[in-house]
Amino acid sequence: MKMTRARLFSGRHGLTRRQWLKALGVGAAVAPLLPALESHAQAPPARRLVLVFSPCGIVPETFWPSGTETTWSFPAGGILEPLGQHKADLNVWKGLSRGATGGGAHDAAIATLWTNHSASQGRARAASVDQIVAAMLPRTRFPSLHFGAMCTYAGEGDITSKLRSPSSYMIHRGLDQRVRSEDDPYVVFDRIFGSGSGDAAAVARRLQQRKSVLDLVAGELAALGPRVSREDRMRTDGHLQSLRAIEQRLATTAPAGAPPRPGGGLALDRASNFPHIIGVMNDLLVAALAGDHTRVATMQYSRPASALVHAWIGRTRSHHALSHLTTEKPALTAISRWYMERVADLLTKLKAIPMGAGTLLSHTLLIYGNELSEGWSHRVSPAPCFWAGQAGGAVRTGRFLDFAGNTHGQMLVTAARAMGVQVERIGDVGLSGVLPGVLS
Amino acid sequence: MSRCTSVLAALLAPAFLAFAGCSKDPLASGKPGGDAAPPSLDATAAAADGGASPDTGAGERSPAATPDAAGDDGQPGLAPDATPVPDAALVPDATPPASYGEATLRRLTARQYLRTVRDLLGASADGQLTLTALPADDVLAGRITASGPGALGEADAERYAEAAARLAGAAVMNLGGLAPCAPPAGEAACARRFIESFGWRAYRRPLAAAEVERYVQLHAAGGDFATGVRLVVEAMLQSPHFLYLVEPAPRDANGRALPLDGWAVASRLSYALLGSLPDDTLLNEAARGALGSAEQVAAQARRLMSDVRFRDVLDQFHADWLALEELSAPRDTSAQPDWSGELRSLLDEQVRRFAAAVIVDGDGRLETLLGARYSILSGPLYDLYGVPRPPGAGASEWRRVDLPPAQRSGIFTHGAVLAASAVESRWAYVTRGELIREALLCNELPPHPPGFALPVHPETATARERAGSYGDPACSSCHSLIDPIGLGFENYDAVGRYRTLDGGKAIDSSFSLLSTEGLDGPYASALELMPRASAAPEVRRCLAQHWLRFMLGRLEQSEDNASLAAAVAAMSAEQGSIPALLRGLAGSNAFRYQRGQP
Repeated sequence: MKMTRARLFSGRHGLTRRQWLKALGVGAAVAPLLPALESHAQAPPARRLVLVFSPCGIVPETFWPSGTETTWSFPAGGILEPLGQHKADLNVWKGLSRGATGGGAHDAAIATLWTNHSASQGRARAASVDQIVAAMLPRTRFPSLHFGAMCTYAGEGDITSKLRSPSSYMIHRGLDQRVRSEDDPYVVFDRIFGSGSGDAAAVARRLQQRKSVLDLVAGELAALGPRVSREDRMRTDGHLQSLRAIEQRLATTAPAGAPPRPGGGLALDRASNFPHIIGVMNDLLVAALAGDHTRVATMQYSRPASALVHAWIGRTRSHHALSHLTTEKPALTAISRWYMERVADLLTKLKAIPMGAGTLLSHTLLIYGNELSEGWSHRVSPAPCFWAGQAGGAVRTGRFLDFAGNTHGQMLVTAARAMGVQVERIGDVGLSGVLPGVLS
Repeated sequence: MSRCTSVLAALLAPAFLAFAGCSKDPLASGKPGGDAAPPSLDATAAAADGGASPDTGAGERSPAATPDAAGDDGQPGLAPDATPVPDAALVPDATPPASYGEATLRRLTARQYLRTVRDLLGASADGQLTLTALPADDVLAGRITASGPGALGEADAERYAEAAARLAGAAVMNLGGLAPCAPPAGEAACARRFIESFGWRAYRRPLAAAEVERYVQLHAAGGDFATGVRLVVEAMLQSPHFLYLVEPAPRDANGRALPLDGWAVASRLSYALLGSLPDDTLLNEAARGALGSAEQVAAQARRLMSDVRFRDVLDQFHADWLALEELSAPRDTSAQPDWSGELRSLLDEQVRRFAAAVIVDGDGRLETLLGARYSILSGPLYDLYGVPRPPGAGASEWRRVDLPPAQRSGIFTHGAVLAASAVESRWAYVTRGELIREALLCNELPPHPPGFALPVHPETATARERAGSYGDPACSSCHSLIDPIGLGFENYDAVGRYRTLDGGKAIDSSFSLLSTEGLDGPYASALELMPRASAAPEVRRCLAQHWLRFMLGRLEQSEDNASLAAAVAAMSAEQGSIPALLRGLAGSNAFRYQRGQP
């Protein structure tokens, strides 16, 4: 996977960078991403997995399409309508059961969403599908990246770091191994694309210094491990593993080319900035995938039982409060529809990146999930679910299927298989095996 | 339905309610939840086995070469007194417990991290970081902030790395304020002295010789003195000995409880009461082995509670205990037109000032915290509480003022608490009922059953009409315990203003309390409950449980029963004094012991 620039530019096709640009027919917007794109020109591009979340359930009658597998339509004015421009790249899977979630409402429901594992006291007890897949893929700079918008902040002026966990976490590496969705675009940018400023020698010196510091700290953790209790040993070992992963990344060169750093000064706790933050995060996710910084990315819009007030579409009460009321279905439809416009934006941006014979989207499998099905009943089934992208040809799109009798866990297994990861079961809820007829 | 009814049965069993209402995490204990045997309050854990043997694990920490840190015998890692000095009044649990809960490597919470780097690096740390730049915290049983279980993930390790780099870079801008000596006169010696003195505070103990050597090498790798110092600071701020409260597990083949070493006690105490690193006095006490006995630790606790940082810790505790972060939740301003960011800030500050006025500057008694007919007011709060501003009080000045006695009684009738538990006005009676059940009575409420549906009410329905309308027994089994107490607060609207009418209808805030140990019965309103609650053993014990969680960053375990009882006894011996409770907890075995590792 790692190729030098020289080899990339004089690869077996003998094309120069400029020729590549011309051959791909892309302009300046994509040019910064090119070194990475070029690396894919030599082999079939790798597949990418994206999970997208929005909260508080949907409204079944305005969400689900009607029709047959190949001839189907969205309810007019409904939730999924904004995705219409991408309909040929979509699959809508209806009827998937999530079974029992282990009690609780939003907490348990988010903990089980991507793990498909029954929760205990609202705590996830197993790894989520993205982590299962990431662990099996060839190592990229980041095994996975987790984006979000206003997952930390409850609202105006709220700078609490207490995330009312575990309810804010949808990604898990295992029991008590929660992974936070990063909702600060500046931190995200610097982590993925920032390589330090100054001349090359200064950057190299700084890298060497960071490595020396990490070496010392890692040595201390390694020495501490045998001196603590067995349970704590797992924690020191895990921490050490994290440091080793950082060291490993420092030792590799980041693919050149980065999108511009997001403009400064966004107040991250200001609800009115939420739409803008999502747009920025969508950009960063796409750039991270396009640059092959990672092949597994997740996007969390707000958090379960979201307290956000979507004032820009005329709401005065929080999403969560509205979701408890059957009398508020039009408002709930409007909010969910607004989230689908954000997903549509993400799909448009994925599709704008040429890759191989297709686009970044055609090499991606994007899965949408929500912690609930209906807010007022706190039902989780049937899971609101659709896929987008062809996963490099593994998935045929443009279909609408009713999978009544099949389970959400099978959907996750099918997704893992589409990513080339051979699993039989994910989590402990529902059935094993794949959804019939989904994979090409 | 079975879930709720079984919990109801459990709630109705007083023995269960006394303790298991806040039972341990079933994951941590490896037992299924909810079936813990009801432990008794008697000091059964005090099945003595002749006192703890000397800490054989102390030798693991190599003696430091640090001259100013070593004790008389040059053994800074010495074990404290093996036998706690008994003092019946202070520590009825003075006999070491036969066994003890698992030791956990506690990581600093985000707030503790920020406070610590401020105390360590001074003003250069200001403005470098926000809470969200650090790994997120967890909550214990839904309330108390703690660093959370689980290993540090890659992204969080990187957060610490970024924070450390940033802080170190800012710190060396003022090298003179950081290093104890000035190069170039003997740069190497100066670097060594810096490493030893800075390490003593950052590691909260003397560095071992080998540790010093590693840092000397790192400093040298920097090339010049300032860069070397920057690297040393950057590494120390990522060291596990900085990020975690490292409490080397004492060795004991039988897993018996053994005293913690003095350094661990010093850190526990300082983080519990100041939210930051121990000061030199505390470290010196540890160095000379003077943090071994309950009296010694309690005396240090008394000293720390006069530190100004204790007030911040009180703020944090009350914000956690009373879930005041809900004040930040967005509100439906069409239903709550009085709500504003300004009011939120005022209410928040008011409750902090009130708690400090009682606990630090006042009589410290729980009776006052729950029963005071006064508060500290400023600006628009006079209007909200319906009292005139005293003559001469400036518009934004904070004054202690008597409140209408028929309307207010202590902290649970403060606007901040009433508003935080009424984010959705319609369900305030539920959230307030939950608050009393969980925060004051330590009843553990089960999660909502999956797929529960909310009853639909007309918008004009009063709280009492809503509360009485659960058709499904799966709902009413729990809500019949929660809602009545909440209705006792119906005289307060969503911002905490006193009212007698709701939607034009007269408010009836009488209720009947069920399934408590000693507080069952009819009440005219919550006002009547509060003074009685402050003397109730179950309420005192519940406060002790919350403070134990807060101070130790973990849930209580059955082994803690004797310590909790001792702390409550210490509190009761001083008319319900909260500072006495905290000293009692600090001196307890729960605070000073841990299980030896085979």
